[in-house]
Formats: sequence, structure tokens, C-alpha cells
Amino acid sequence: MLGEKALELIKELDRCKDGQLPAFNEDIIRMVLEEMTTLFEQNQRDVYNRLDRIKAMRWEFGSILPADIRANICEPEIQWFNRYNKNLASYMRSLGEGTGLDLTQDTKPPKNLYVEAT
Amino acid sequence: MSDSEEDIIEGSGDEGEAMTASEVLQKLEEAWITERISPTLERHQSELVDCMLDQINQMTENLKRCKKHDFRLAIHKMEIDRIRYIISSYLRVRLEKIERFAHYLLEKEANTTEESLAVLSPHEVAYARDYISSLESHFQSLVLQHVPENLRTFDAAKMSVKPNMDSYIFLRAKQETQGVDEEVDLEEGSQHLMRYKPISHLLHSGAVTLI
Repeated sequence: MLGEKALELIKELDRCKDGQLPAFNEDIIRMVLEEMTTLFEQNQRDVYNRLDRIKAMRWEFGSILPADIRANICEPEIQWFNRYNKNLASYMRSLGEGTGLDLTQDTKPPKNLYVEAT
Repeated sequence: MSDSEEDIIEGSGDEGEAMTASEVLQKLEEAWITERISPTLERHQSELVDCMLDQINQMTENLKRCKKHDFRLAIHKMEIDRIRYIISSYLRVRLEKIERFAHYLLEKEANTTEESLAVLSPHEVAYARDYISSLESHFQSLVLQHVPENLRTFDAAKMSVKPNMDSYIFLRAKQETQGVDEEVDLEEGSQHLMRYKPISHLLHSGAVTLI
């Protein structure tokens, strides 16, 4: 269980009478620190995976998120979404020497794609 | 092919020689197929893209002047849709890779001095930079300011993904090449399943094509 090792250390100290000191438990301390790093990295990945989903929604729904999704994302995520939106928009505007191309359109091949008349 | 597509376009070729619109389209189609198969981001083809976008804009203008029941109207419209789909799909695949490999690509870009070898177009560089910086500030506001100071650095390299250059791809040899990956001889027209890395230079020189 997470945090178990850290709790063990505290209990160990607690069990010791005043005026005594348990041996410095280097192994457990190292394990606790490793656990912290792992958790931190996992947390970063979670944050990143959420952004990936939010990003996919920009392509699916356009620049305005549906209300039910807006209700489930936090303020920094809304800010990130707006920034992603802005970056994408200015990239799409730059295409074709400034004439622009909306890449969220034409996501399926036209029916005639493979029957080109020659 | 429409009349406008037969126009000669200057300055899109490798040595600056003129290409016809249908040649440009053919090159763009090839770049599109390659980009969808290749494990990494290939060199940008902004010139081809801009050229073809200009073409379909002109074609669209021309269509406005056509009579409504002109039978060519439908055919030209189909052709415009087809080209626009290829361009959009090509650029979407690129954006996906740019986002996924942003850190890796920018690093690589910083080490590329020759413009003709550039993988990212200037607009794509700007896009990748803003994308990375948006991730950074997001982590900053959401996570980093709430954790102990020793963890409070954003390691972009740790979050970045590198393309797998060892992944296998199918290819067809356009010309005979000997001693590929130290042991394989490619006969013209032959097809092979090989790792991407040893053949990437042949892809860029046009000796092979991905299938």
C-alpha cells in the first residue's frame, strides 16, 4: 500500500521510549523517497494524458467545448485548451502562404478518391 | 486533369527546375503516403503544399465562372475535394507527430544548419515551441507549485517521446542499390521488409519508396 513504508518509520519511532532512538533505517528511507519520485512521475503522466483527451476534443468539437465537458475540467486545463486552440488556429491560418486551411475539415476521404477518372 | 493543373509552376523542383501541377501533386501524394508510414517525421514539403493549395484556390475561382450545368463542374469539384483531402490528411499526420515528438524534433532542428534538410517548416517550428511551452506552464500551475522544491523542475526530456527508428517498414526499390544495411542488395522494383533507420537516407534520395 502507498505510504505504508513511511508510516512504518513513524510507528517505529513512536514505539521507542523517550530518551531512546531507533537505528536510522536507511533502506526504508530510500524506499520512501523512491516511492515519492514514482508517484510524482505517475502524476505527471496523468496530467499529460488528460491534456491528450482535451486536445482530441478540440478536433472533435471545435474551439468551444460542450458544457458537460467544461464542467469536468479545471481552470488550468481550460487555459491550456484555449492556448492549444490559439496555437492551432494560427498554424492553420499560416498554411497556403496565408490563405489558410482548416485541418479539422476533410477528415474522411471523398467517396471518389480511388476511382479517379483518367 | 483540369487546364489550370497543366500550368507550369516555377521553383518547386529540387534544383529549381519547373514542375507541372500534376508532377507537384504526384510528389505530394508520395510525401503523404511516406509520412503516414514512416515512424518519424519526414522533411517538410511546404513548397508542394503551398503550391497545391494555390492550385485548388485558383480552380475554385475558375469554377465560379463555369455555367451551372457544365458537366465538367462535378468532375473538377471532385478533383478539388480529393486534393484538399490529401493536403489536410498529410498535414494532420505531421501535426500529430510534431506534438508527440516535439521535444526531440526541436532538438534535432537546432542542430540542422542546412535549410534543405530541415524536417520542420518555420511555421511548424513555431507550433512545436508553443506546444511545449504550453505543456510546461500547465504543469507549472497545476503540479509543480504544489510539490516539494526538490521535485519542482519540469524535465521536458523525460516527458518527450522519441520515434522508434528501428521499426520495420515495407519498401519498394526504385533503383538498384547494393549493400543496404551492410548486406542486402535491392533490385529495382523489388519489395522488402526492413528497419527504417538503415534505409532512411535512401528514402530521402528517392532510391526507395515506402509502401
